Amino acid sequence: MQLKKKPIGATLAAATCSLLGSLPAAPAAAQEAKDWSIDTSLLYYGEDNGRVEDVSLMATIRRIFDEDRSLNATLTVDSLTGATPNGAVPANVPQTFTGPSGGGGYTVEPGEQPLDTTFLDTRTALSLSWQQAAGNATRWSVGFSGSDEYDYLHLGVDARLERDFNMRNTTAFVGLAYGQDDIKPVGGTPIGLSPMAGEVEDEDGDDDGDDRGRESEDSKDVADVLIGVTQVLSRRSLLEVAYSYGQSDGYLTDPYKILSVVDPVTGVPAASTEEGIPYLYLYEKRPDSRTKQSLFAEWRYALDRDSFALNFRFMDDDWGVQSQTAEARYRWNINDRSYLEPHLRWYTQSAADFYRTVLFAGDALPEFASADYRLADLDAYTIGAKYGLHTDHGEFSVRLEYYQQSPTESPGSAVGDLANLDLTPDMKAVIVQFGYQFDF
Amino acid sequence: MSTDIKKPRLRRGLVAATLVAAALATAGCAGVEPWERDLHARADMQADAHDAAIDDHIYFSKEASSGGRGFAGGGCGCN
Amino acid sequence: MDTNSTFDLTRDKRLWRIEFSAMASPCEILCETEDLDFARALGAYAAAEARRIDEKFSRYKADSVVAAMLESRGRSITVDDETAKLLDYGEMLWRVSEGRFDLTSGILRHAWQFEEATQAPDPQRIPELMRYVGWQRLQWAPPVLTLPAGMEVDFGGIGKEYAVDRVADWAARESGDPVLVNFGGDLRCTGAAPASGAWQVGIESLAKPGQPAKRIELTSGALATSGDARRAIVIDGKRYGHILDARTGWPAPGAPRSITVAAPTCSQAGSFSTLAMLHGADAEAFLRAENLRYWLLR
Repeated sequence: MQLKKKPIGATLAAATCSLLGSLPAAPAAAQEAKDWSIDTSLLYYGEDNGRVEDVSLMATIRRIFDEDRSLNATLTVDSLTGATPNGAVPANVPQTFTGPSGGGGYTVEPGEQPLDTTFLDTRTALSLSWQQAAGNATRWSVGFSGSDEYDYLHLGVDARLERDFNMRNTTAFVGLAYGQDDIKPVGGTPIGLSPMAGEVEDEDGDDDGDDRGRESEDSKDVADVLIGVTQVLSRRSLLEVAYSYGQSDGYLTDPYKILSVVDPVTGVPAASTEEGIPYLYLYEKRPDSRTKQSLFAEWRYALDRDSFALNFRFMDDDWGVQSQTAEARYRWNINDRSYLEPHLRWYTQSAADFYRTVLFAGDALPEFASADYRLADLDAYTIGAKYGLHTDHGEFSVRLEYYQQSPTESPGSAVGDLANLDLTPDMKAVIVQFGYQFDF
Repeated sequence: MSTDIKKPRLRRGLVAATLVAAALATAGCAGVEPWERDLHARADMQADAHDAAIDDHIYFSKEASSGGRGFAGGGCGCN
Repeated sequence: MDTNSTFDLTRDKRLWRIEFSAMASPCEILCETEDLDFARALGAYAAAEARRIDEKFSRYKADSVVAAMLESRGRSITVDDETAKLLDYGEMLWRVSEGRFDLTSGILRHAWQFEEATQAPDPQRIPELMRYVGWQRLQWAPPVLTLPAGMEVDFGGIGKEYAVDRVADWAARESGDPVLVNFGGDLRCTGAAPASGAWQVGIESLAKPGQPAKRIELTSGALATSGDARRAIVIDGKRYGHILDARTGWPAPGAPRSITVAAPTCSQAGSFSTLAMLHGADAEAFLRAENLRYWLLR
């Protein structure tokens, strides 16, 4: 037989033009619809100065039944280690704190930011959602989410409805979510604004604090509603706008966080009223309800080869926190197979009304107080980039981001000794993520 | 001792702002024909839910805000 | 009323669905349009054109081109422009396939009788019939065809795909709306991609007929399938497909059960899938060398 045959495609194409009396037709674009789509990632998050480190593995599995129905499952496992600020401020003397279980005390050197080193946990989370089309322009989904860690259990349900209008140029959506969380802190839930006691023996060995007169567990529930619209503005751009309203009720306090009490003139830690612990620290207390609203908008624009997106979110709540977030992403499609996407994020928030970096001895006890830096006035920015590479079977990606956060102490906190200490140090973190996405 | 919880400020203002933003978005968009939406079908013009969920969780743990474009997902003991 | 252009028009979710029978196949056209007049005109044109081509090249109609060729008994006849183009196309396929594909091979159905499907062909019948098979035996000097007595020209291998292309070209000239023309599994889309993003086409499962083995998303071009799923003979566990190699009178050895090819037009897709089947065990090599998007079931 013949050895090397010339491809016949060109001959066939020319003959077809003659047969049909028409110009060459556009190339065919046909691809196999895949039933399964898997997206996995391995994430490392690490803060500086021995603070929090997190390694997490996440997998999203999507099973497509037909063009109208699909099932999504996401499984996440993350492991937290390192230390987190416990809310107390540094001092010119060594400070000793009692661990959450009533034992396991730890000491912090003068000038050092107090970090709770007992903070380590593994969390497993699962969420499932079913998506279905109803009629030509409507889609709905229902979902379940749950997560479990040593001291925290979350269960939630959510639903979403979308409808297209205007030849699918406009899509309106509405969503509802409800969750109930059970908190079972190590050592039970401390009474808000009560002093931290010295180390005690855990008498019944179950670590739940009831032998110290504490509640062993508490709960909160969270309800959210979301409403928005996505609008195609032109051949190249679209705009998404969403408003959400959320209400949380129940135990919203962080059971492990405390506030330092210091002398209002010298800034020296006040003496403790409890035995076995030198200085006075009070457990924080937050209100038992929180109402949040946010407004989000994203504009996406397609260039001939690349694209970019800008988004903005404004958040306001009844704790006095107001925040603004702005993000920009630019997708540089280097070629058919790879891309690079630099990313910038800027964030600023105003402090909660009850945020206090320190409390002063002799002042009246406030109704609520927290020194958690995450409720302070703070600015943060993120800079990073993602690189993606398509192979025959899927897409690899690597993401590298740098996050820096600068909280500001509450006015008037830096009295006496405290003026020479950094009460709210900056936090710097690195995020590295490896991902692999494939369909089959 | 009166409860010092402030009612959500600017509640009506926020809703009004969203409605105005949405109206501006939909106005003057008589319609982009289906064959003109080729660029919108490109993969990079779709929202990346996977990365967005990861970021959302990180920032929820480190800041006082959450969600925005969708639900924050699940609660956790990290905030 | 012209009964040749009758068809059924129904609304299926967001699409207009046109249905009719022609060319021994269920024919359907899906059209995404707000213009009911266009949907009706498309149905009328498609039904009329499919039946016209069917009847013009039918083996069974006394006034068809094929009948005229049979009756010529060796005398030269002049054919019309459309027939001339189809003969040119058939000749091209005969040449590029090195004789495997041949419009004169239809006569072999007398030996194979695929419809009855249980008997091996009579071993003497094939060499007898092969005396009347072979493009090299006729003379084609457009527009004059000289077909030796006893030979026939069968357009069955290219007619359906040609009809799909004719209807698709008409739809594309009339409107930019998304249209999918599907004549018994040979299909082509024109205009924009539908609102859902792509036409969902299923390749029938061999194990579970009626259910899709693979789902294909088509946004441009045509798909055609060649296969033995419906017409084949199984003898002693060996399967003989109905696509016969004109050089031997037998199916190519080692041919896959089903090949679906994507190409710009239905004629090209159909030609590629048929030629690939004729390459038998080398089907994949042929398809890869032609740089085609294909799905093959063995």
